[in-house]
Amino acid sequence: MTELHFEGECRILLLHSARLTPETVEETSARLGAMIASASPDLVILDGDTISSPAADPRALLDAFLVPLSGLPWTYTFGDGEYKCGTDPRALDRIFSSVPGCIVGERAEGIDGITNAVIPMIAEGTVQFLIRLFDTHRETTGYERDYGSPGRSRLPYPLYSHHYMDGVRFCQTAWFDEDHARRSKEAGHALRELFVFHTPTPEHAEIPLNQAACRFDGVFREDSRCQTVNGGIGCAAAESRDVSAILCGHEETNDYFGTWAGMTLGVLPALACGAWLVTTDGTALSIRRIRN
Amino acid sequence: MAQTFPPPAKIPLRFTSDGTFRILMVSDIHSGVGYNREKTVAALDALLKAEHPDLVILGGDTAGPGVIHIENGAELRDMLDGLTAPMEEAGIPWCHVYGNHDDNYGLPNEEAEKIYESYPHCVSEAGPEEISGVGNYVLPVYSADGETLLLNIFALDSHAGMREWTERWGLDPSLRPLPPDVGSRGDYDTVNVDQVLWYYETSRRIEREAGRKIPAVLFTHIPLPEMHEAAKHRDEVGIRGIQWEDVACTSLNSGLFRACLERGDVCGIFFGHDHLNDFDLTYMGIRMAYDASLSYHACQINELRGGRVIDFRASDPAAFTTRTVKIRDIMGHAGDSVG
Repeated sequence: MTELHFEGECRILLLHSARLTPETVEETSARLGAMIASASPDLVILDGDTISSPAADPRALLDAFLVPLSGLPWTYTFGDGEYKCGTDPRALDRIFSSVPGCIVGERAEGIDGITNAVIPMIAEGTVQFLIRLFDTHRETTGYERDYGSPGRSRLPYPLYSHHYMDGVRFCQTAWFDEDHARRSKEAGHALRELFVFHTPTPEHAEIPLNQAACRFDGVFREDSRCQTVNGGIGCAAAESRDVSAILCGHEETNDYFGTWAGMTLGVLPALACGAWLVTTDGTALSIRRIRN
Repeated sequence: MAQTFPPPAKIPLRFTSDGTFRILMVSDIHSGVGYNREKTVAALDALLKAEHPDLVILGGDTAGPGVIHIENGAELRDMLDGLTAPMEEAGIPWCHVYGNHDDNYGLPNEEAEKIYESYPHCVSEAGPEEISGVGNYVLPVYSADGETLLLNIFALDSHAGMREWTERWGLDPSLRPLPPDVGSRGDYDTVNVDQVLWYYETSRRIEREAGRKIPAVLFTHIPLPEMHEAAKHRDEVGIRGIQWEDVACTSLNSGLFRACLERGDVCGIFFGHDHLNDFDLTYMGIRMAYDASLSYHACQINELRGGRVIDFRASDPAAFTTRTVKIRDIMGHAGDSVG
C-alpha cells in the first residue's frame, strides 16, 4: 500500500523512540494503545528509533508493539537507532514493511538512505497533500567512507556539535526538489507537503534560541542534537513555499515547535514523554500534545 | 579535446607548459564614478606584474557603495575601462562574481553582465536564466596540450540581503528565517537552493562525461555559514592569516557546503565580503579562504589591502596552495591610501 485515503481533516499520531526491547515492549505497547484511544488517528507514524538496541527477533517486537493499531494504517522512518541495533538495516526495512497495515509509500530510488518515501494523502478522490519521509542516517562517522574525493584522504569530523549527527543529505534535498516539481506538474497545481524525519535540521535548533521571533511553543530541556552539516532541506522547503511543516524526533525531552520562514518546525518528545497528534488538511496544521 | 562538457571558456583556459595554473583573486574594490582610478589600477597592475596569474577573479562588490556608485551602463563601462585595463593590456583572462553591493544603485546585474562580457578578455558568463542570480557558471581548465580536463572553476552569485531572498521566493518579508542578531550572522542572502542544485547536477554531469571526479574550486562573495562555524575552532581548522572581524555570513543555509562535500570535487571555496579578514582554514577537507579587499574606499587599512593567489599543479590540481599577497609588500607605501 502506498497511499492513504481520509475524510475531512487528517489526524496523524506522530511518535518516536519507542526503543523496543523484550522487557519493555508490553508497557510501551500499552502506552501506544492509550495514545491511540485518546487521539483517534487516521495514520500512525513511527519517526525513528523504534528499534535501537540488539533484538533477537525484531518482527516479534514490532508485532507485539503494534497490537493496539488493530488494522489502523501506519508508516515509519528510520532513526540512527535502526542503523545501530545490530540488524542489517535493509533486512530491518523488510521486516517493518511486512507488518500488516504498513504504508511503505512510494520509495525514492538511487539516493542515500532507505526510508525515503512519499505517501499521497487522498480525500474526495484527489491528492490533498503529500507526506514525505526522509531517512536521516546515523552519526557522521560514515563521511570518510561515503565522500572520498581527489586530494582528500582524510576528513575530520564536523566541529560544531558534540553529537556529530547526520541528517537529510543534499542528495535527498535534490530528490525532493525534482520529485515535488514532477508531482505538482502532474497534478496541475502545487502540492502541499508535510515532512517527517528523525534527526532535526539546524534550523530546528534555532527555534528555541529565537523564541519570540519564531513563536516558540513548548519546552526546551536538552541541548539540540541536530544535524551537523546542513543538507539544505529547510531552505529548499522554504523556497518551494509548499511545505507546511517539518516534524522531527531524535531528542528525548525536548517538545517544541515554532515558525521558520513560514513553516512549522517541530521537535516532538520521545515516546516515554509523549507524542503529537497533528491534524491537517495539508495547509493548515494544528498540533496537540498527548502526554503519557 | 575529448571532453565537451563543460564548454570551454571564451578564451580557453589551460595549464602552462610547465604544468602550473595560477589564479589571482581580488575582491571588494568598491569602485564606481569617482573612484580612485589611479591608485586602484596601479595596485592591480602591480599585483599582475608581481604574480603573473593565468586568470584574475574579481570576487564581488566590484562596484559601490558609499560616495561611489554606478547608476547606468555608461558609468559601469567607464569604471571597468580603467579597472580591467591591466588585464586587457596584458592579455590575461579575467572573470567575476557579483557581491551584495554591485547592483545597489539601479543598474541590474543582468544589464551589467552584458557590459562585463563585452571585454575581450572577460570569460565570465551570465549562466542559466532559469536559476537565481546572474553569473552562475563553470570554467574548465585543461592540460597544456588542451586534451585533458584537469580543473573546474565554479562561480556562484550570492545575491544581497534577506529582503531580496523573501521577495525572490514570494515569502512574507516578516517570515524571514532568523532575526539578524543570531550570533554574528548577518541579514545577508546566500547562494539559493536552485543554484546549489545547478552546481550539483553540473558536477555530476562532468563526472559522468569525464569518467572520474574532476577537482574544482568555487568562488562566491558572501561566506557560507560553515566558514562562520569553522572559524570558531582556530586550532582544529588551522586558521592562517588575519581575522579582524567576525564572519559576516548569511543566516540561511542552502546546503552548498554539504553538496560540495557529497560531490567530492570541490577542494576550495573562496569568499570576498569581509574586508578585514584574509584568513584561510580547512574544514572537513575543504579549504575556505578570504582575500580581504583591494579597495581604496571601503578599506583604509594599508596592511590588509591586496588579494589571494591560488596555485595549481597539473599533476595534482586538488592539492593547490594558496597565500595572500599585499599591495604594501609589492609597492611599499606608494600603495597606501592617501590621508
